[in-house]
Amino acid sequence: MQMINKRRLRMRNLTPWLLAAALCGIQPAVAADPPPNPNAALIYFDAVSNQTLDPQEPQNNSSFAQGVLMAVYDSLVRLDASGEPRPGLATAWHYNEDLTEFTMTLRHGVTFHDGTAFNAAAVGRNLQRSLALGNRAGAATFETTSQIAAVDVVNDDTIRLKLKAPSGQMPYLLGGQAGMMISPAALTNGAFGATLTPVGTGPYRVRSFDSNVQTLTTRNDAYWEGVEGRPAAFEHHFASEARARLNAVRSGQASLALIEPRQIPEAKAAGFAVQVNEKNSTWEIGLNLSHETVGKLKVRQAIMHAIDREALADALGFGASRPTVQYFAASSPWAVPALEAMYPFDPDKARTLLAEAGYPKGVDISWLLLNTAEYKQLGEAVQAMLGDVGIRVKFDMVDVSQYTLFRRPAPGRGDVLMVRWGGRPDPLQTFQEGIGSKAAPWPAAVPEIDRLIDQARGMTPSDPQRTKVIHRLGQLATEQVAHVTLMTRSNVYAYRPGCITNLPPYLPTGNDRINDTRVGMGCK
Amino acid sequence: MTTLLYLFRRILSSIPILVLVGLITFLLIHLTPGDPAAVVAGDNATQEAIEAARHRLGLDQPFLVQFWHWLHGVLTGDLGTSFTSGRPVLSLIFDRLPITLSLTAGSTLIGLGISVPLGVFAAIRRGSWMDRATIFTTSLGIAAPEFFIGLLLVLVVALELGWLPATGYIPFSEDPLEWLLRLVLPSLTLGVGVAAELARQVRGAMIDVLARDYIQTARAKGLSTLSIIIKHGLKNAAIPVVTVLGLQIRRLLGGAVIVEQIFAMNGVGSLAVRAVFLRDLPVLLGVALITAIIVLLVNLIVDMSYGYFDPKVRQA
Repeated sequence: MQMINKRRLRMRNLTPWLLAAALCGIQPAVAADPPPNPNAALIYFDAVSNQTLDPQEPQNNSSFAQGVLMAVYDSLVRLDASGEPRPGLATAWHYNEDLTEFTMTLRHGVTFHDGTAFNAAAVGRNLQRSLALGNRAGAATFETTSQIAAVDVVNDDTIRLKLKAPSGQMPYLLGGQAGMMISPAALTNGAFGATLTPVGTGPYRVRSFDSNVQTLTTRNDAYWEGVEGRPAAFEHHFASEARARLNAVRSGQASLALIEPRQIPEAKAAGFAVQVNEKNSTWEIGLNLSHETVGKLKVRQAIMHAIDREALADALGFGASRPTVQYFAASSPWAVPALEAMYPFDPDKARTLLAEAGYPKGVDISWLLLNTAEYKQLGEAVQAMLGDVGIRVKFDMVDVSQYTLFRRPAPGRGDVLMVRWGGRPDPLQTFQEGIGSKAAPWPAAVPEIDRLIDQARGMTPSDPQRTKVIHRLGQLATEQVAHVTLMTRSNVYAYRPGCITNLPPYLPTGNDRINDTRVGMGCK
Repeated sequence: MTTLLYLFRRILSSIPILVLVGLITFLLIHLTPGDPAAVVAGDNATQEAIEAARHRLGLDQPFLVQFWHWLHGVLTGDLGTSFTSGRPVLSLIFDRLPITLSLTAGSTLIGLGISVPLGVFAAIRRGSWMDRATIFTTSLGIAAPEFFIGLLLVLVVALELGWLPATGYIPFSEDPLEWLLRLVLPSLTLGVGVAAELARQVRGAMIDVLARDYIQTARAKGLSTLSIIIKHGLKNAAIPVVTVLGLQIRRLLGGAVIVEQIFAMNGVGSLAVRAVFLRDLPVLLGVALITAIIVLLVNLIVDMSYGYFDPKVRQA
């Protein structure tokens, strides 16, 4: 208790700073957008890199690796800012009665960067390639193709997918990597990963690519959606050090940088605009429900009540995080606001629940913790809070290549694992991958979760019942503590005031649509 | 002929060292917890996808078989293919090597440029306040960590004064001036430590040489101080200095890992760091091997230089 009080005291001392940072961060950075400069170059310093520019390659499966891909490739379906399917390279689509056939009408007059025409044959070639890749492709693509039984080119403008089982998820899945279209001319000789020449139909064409270093592109002046206001070039640079990214903007070498929340005060103090884009992205604690301790609902509920989310968000979020108990951002149509009141910070209640679960003297928990500073900082803060109610956390330090330890539980290891969840195009995917029984070798918290996942899969995005089922899933996940959410995480950007426009929050992926960003007149 | 024979023998004796470096690196990576197949299969991959990746990469074969395949590839000039990017390792390293070598060369030049005059000056003025100041500042230079020097330089020179760029690397072929400008701060960051270490060596070696009889003779002959220092002092003091310089280059290659992160330069150091995180075995082995070759080459050059500085060594 004393430890928590001290922490809260320290946080109170920091409150004016944090409040200022939060207010500055969440407010729009500029009052009036300057006109865009079509001759400028957008130079973006990112924390995430691309090993290759093949959307189907497993390293590009990450929700955080989509920035450059969205600039080079268009998807068949475009997901809007809140994640709703809208026309992309496909202008319309429909299902048959029993959701086993998905037919798309394709956009006319689109060409790939190499001049190849975009048509049903090109889509067919792309999907056949993904089908042939099987599980060599990234999970998002494999998840899509594993539902497809056959691809029929109906005519030049129409393509039909025959599905193995009823699935209403196709519009969402084809809004992600699986729907990104590559020029058929580039798909020769088994091109895959590093051997693929990145040619799409997107707003930017690749000038040069250096794996894990930089991607330099120039504007595609023949872009089907028009090029009005788009910068003449888009450069994506990888810099693993957050300080180097901010320094790049401060020294004028970058027009935009992704920074860490802790850098918000520094960036503001240096006179830079800071923009916080909230995402369907959260700090999550996954629970191994096959283990005795966290398998008990009351232990899980005790964990929920023991965590002071507000303090975590204040101290570690710097205004870029909000306390939450669910997967989705408050602005998402999938969030259920009423859930936020379900587990208030209440250490006494946590202790009572723990005793009722059969652990009056406390309980030991093994926590697989990734060995990065960001994870350690948050992990240690939660460890102290849990320790205060008698949940003794022992860290088991691992790196990113060891996360399978959680999915393949070893005795005494990995009761819980904390991850930075990047969100998925389809909210149903989040439940499938997060709490459904197919995501892990243990049953879901309650069988109804699996039943609802199956029910939602059999509904199309336009079905109003689907939203209700998703909301019910969210409610059930929180009630049953199928996962422990700590707080939201946002993308935080720094740039010279007035230099960057049109960078709204984009919920379907970990990245925002940097490819739609404009550079203000007067900035280089 | 003798020199060629010597070179041949040295190169021959390097082979077992390189094999040992490969074996130890291989062993260390295998002993490190983690699963390269899980990384290659990507985010949220199924167990089947992970196992398929393991088989495809040959990671399900016995340790010695895997090592033999790698060694066999090396002998035929093939360092393998990166697990994660799918690119040939040699090409990945050669793409990044110019950055790290530019940085190392720049730091060495800065180190020599500062240390030689400073060390000579301190040796000539031995015991003076300037000598003591040199000892004090070189102690600071040795003690100061590279990341601290780097961040300080960026903050003051790049961000506050705006004199030089804060991050990045531009190839010489693209823009020679920009290449130079972007190398100054990172090279200075690494070069400060080298300069401090070398300045002490130069000072010590020069004090020793300047006390020798032939220096007194040179003075008696009426040679100027400058001439004595350059012709008789520096050349004779060079052997210990060159030895330390050789060791410093090894240190520079290691220090480049940190400096490349601070200045967002994607050189071999960054490649190695990323390969460790991703358990990219072929890339790590390739980096270890190429680094070992560079270190052995530098050692060879240092050993060969002894003959130039001291004819007795050449005769031996």
